[in-house]
Amino acid sequence: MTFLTGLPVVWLLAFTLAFVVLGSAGMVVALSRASKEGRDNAGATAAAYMTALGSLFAILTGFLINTEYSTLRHANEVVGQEAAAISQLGYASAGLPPPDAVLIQQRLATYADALATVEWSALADNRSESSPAFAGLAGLQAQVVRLGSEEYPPPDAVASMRDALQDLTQTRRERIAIASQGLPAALFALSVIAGLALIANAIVVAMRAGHRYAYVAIGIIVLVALDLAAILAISAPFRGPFQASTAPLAGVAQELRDSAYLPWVRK
Amino acid sequence: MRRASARRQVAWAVAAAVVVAVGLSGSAGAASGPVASAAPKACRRDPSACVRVGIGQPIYIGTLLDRTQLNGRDSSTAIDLAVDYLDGQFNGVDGTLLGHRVVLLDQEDGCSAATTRVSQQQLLSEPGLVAVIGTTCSSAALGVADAAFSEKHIPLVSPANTAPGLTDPAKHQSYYFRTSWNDKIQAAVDANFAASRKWSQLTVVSNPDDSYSSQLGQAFVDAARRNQGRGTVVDGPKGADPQAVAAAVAATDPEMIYLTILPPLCIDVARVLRSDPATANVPMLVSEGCADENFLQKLGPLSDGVYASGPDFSFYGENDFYRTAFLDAYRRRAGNDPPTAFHAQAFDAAQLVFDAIRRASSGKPGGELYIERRKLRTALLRTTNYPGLSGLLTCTEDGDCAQDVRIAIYEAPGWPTASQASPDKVFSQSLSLAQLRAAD
Repeated sequence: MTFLTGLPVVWLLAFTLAFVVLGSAGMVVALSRASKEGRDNAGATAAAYMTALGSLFAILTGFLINTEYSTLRHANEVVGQEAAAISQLGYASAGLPPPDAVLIQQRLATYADALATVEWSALADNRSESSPAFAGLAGLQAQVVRLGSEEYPPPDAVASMRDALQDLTQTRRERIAIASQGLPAALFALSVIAGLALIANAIVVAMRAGHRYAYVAIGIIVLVALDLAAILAISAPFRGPFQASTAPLAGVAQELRDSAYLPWVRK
Repeated sequence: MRRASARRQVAWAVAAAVVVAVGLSGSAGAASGPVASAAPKACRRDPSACVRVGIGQPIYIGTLLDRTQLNGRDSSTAIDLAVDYLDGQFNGVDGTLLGHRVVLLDQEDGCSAATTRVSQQQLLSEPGLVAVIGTTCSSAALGVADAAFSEKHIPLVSPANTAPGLTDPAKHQSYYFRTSWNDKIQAAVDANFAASRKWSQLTVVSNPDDSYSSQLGQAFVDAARRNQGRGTVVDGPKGADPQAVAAAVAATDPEMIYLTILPPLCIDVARVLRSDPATANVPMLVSEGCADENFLQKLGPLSDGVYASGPDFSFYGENDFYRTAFLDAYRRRAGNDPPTAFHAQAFDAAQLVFDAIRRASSGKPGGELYIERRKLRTALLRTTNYPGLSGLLTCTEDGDCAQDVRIAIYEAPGWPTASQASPDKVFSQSLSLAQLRAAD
């Protein structure tokens, strides 16, 4: 499943289409061996089940798409919160003496850069601790703790930095938790079975009605393939074709590189 | 007809193939070196416009100071501390700048143009030189180091030059900056101090051959004139006879004597003036170039009551970072308290240079860096209200970064020296260059 959800969108479409078409071809071959009378009887029965099977498939895939899209949207929200926490830490550090402010912001820029460029691939491989962002966050924690132990930093600035760092750590943990969640395999398998049953039903009905009505079955075959591809595509926010956007992180990294949080730099 | 057309098509195909082949070979050549492909456009156009810092290579920063003087040693210690603090800790271990070591190339300015010329050549022989912190003496910078480094587009940031001429728009060299105050401010505060005591006949002893001394003296006379005072300048060139200088001062019948000359002459002239009954009770003021521990030790009780002007040290004490972190680190490194005011300016100068390098460079930290020299100057010019140890710094086109300075007058033996716990401040005033421009 992990392999499937990490495929590019074109390959994913090709795979699901091939799977469904091959399955359908097999059904056609199997059904064509039945007698005409048998096919007529089966067609009449199958027609009665079309609505039920269609509804079942729609409910299952609808539920999965909704769940996975919610996860993707949540991942995007978490990334946005992470960018906001970086920004808050940047603003809070501006209250420190310049050598400390510059150091914190430089580390933040490196951290944000690492998140925007390599973190997703580390999450995809389930090796979040191997990402440079992991070491970057540890460095930031150490620096803020050290500043907190000094007498000179303004207490408000240190408190604000601690809050921001807590948010950063929390959002990172949340992101890792989201990345570790997979598509519910049983539910997806049920959807696949429902989809194949719907296709089989449609083929039986089409064979009874005649070749001229084959396009109805073809339409259902394509729709099932697209539905399954959509579920797979959106179910991996950090490796699939529809990933959580890194734009907020890249944006805040650029702001830090442009010294936007250093109050003494004329803009 | 058809054959001719086919031949033409073959010819076009061959030509297109040749063009593509040439294009490919050209692009392969351009990209053959990772330097060429990674460098910013400005660096590829003109390699001398940038400093390339390869992986594992250090960033070279020059220091050009007079370490035979207390203020030079004070600055040098502060610059070392700035490099130490690049990792956010005063732990005696140098930090890194953008993942690269910072190597300080230390040279002496000798407080003279001749020594400076030799030293600056040494520094300029390093092609990777990014910036220079110095000089200690204004005479080492004015028309010497400021011109030489500006010509090579290398910023020279001085923590100790105060001569007004260095940032006079008519003489200013574009890559010259300073974090120390402009003596126009010190002269105006000194003149205001004299006016507050109702001393109007003011005699300045200055060295006409030293830009610091002569320009401070002249600025003081100009400021005294604005206060309705009368200023007279007596020359005290290097090697002059102190007795002759003191006699010339006494002949002006002064109400206050201001010495802008440097040691050892200032100490000798002061001793003669304080020993002569005719001038012993005339209030005497010395500028910060002379006001140090040596003066007090060599004059002994004769120094009592002598005024010294310089930056207001009480401001430093208001800075928590300075008080609780920097001073301890300074004491650990130097083994004593800062002997002059210039450690704060030097720490700020180093920080401004580091900050500008960060903003003028491209490349990943720890990887290959390109530092654009013009961007470095622009980065310094974008510094506005930088909260340094020495005060708020705003670098302007004329090179002055200390726009608003608080100058204090101290009375001996309560000068702000290393051994003095609570300096005896008798006058203090904050003035800005903008205020002085408006007054002109």
